[in-house]
Amino acid sequence: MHFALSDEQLLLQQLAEDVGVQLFSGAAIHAAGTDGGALRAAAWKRLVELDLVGLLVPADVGGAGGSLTDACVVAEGLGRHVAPLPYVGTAIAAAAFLRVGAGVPEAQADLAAGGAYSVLLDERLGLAGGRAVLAFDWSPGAWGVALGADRAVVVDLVDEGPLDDVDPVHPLRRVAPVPTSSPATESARRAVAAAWTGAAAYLLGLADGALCEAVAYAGQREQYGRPIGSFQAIQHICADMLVDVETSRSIVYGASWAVDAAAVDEAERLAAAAKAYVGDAAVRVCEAGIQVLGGIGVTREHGSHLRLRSAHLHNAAFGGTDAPLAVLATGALADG
Amino acid sequence: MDLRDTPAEALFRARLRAWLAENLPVEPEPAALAERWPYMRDFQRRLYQGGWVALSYPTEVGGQGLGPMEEAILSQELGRADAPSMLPIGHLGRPLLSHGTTEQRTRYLPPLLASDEIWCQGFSEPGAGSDLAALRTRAVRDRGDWVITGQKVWTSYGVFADYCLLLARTDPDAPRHRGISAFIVPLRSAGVTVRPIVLANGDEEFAEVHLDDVRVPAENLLGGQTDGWRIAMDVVSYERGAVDIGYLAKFERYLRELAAHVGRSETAPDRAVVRGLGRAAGMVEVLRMHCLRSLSERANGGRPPGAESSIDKLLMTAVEQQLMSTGLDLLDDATHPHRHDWFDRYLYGRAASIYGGSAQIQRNILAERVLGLPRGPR
Repeated sequence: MHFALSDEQLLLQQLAEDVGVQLFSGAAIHAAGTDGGALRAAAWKRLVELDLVGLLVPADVGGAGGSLTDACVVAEGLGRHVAPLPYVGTAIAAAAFLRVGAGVPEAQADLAAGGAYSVLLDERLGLAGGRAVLAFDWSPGAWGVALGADRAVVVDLVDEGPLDDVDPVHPLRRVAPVPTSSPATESARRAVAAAWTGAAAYLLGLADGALCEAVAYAGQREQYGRPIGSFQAIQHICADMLVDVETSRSIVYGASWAVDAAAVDEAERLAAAAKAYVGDAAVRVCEAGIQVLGGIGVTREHGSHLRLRSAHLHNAAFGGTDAPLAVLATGALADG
Repeated sequence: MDLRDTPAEALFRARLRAWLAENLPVEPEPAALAERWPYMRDFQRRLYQGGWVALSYPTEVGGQGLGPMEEAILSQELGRADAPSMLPIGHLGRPLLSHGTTEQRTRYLPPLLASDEIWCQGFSEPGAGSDLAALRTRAVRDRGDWVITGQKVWTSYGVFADYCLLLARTDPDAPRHRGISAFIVPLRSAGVTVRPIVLANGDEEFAEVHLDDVRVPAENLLGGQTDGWRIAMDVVSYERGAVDIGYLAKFERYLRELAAHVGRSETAPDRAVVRGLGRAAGMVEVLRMHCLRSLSERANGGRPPGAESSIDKLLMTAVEQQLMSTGLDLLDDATHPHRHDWFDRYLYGRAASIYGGSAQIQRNILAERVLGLPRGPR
């Protein structure tokens, strides 16, 4: 047993971090909701060139043939910078769904080359509704990807207009209803587990970014003649954020390995734990980060609200915490 | 990332699993500590004789010469087999291993690891809890002996112990962290009085230890005279690991017990059960993965846990307290036969955020030593 990223994955981590810093620092992120998609399109093109979009697309159909851990390393790095990109919805969830059963090779190849694919969810952002009406991580002209019982269906979407939900940088779109079914085969269950783990990885990055900002601010902001980070009241908030971030990292990377390599029950259980735990933890950490920043943290101008908005959206995606908790509870009852 | 067993690990696991199938006690673990202690000690001795204790200690002191990953496998298999709890004192051998002389290691480690001699740690005092370096127990050199006077408190398993790893001040003029030494004190020595402290759940797990001119020979000093603080920090960093003290396996067993208690009803689980049990099960998975990561880092780095072990402690505390609270929520029928036991476990769980460095001390450590925030007033 060996629980650590490989040297290649550490390089990938650095690459994702560099991309995040170059493309999304400072004011750029605020433009994402209002620039007509220019930043998104340019950044996505860059990720395609770096072979980061097709990580979950097998090499024999034109992808990079990477592991879910590779994709999670990238999602975490992008989350740290609140990247306004459909990485979770397209590069992880849609790509994982398109692998189910015999796979959908043309769509997989197109996705890896930068084609727009959006996963379809029910009105509560779940997968179990029997009827998908929302496109998650939508891009203009996107194909819809719905998960059936044993295969993915690629749909030419009937666009019914934007949905103004909580997160302006990860658009949801209303679409004409598409029938779906609960995943029934092992390969469909693994695809859902991949979506849960990918969302958890992005949430982990969001939380880690909030922690970094809070610690940097607490070290330089002075009150009562000393840095506020020297007060235990602030230190303990930051320490709790650290515990949430590091324990989230453990379950995300453990689950990412399991979804690819462990028996399906264990894969599903660990992915469920990642989604439920990290979803709660990331919202908690982003809220705490705003508390440490004080007044500046609740302004429109500062990026903290975008981070918190993104945390809520990704926590809600793919069945919120209830769907994974049901998997965990059912497993525990079967063991008891 | 590869969480599969290597061939050697798989062989180890298979042998262990086969051994456990033959050697688990048939009687259930008693609830009260007075009966539970001999039960746990018997099983621990049997484990040791089977070659399953002290896996990552060297063979010359009675260990198995393996690594942290075998410790992880042991924890997984004990949990899976519903084995009795391990004695949570194995980490007390660590300072003997790292700071003991050859004579001390040879004399004390084999019986400690075999559970033939039970050890406790004499750190906290009435006036030195979170501020451990304020301790006032004194040791004064008198020819070939040290003469120790003072009082220790919250000494876990003190009433069962034969030896105490005790901190005492040997240089009152030195800076306070530098004036502390660690001693090996036989609890049968003249001048030692051990009084049990009854916990809220009725267990006599803690004790106060009074030392009144207790003489120990000079060779009972552990490490150098100024090493006491470092030794104490070594001990507590191991005490923060859920695998090191056997708690991961214990929580897995408790979770299965709780699931069995609430799963008896014929109806489909309601939302409270799904959310409560699901969250508790998820947290146990998080702890399992975090322990694997920490032990993997220990195996690769070859060094003892550092300040980050406070993360492990805070997680372990959160898992225990959440599991116990969930048990109370779900066993809310006052006539449920297991409600009383769970309430006792819940009460015991309140100690998790106090012992081994309170949750607040762990946060201080993380803030200053891991996050690098400026040191503040205390």
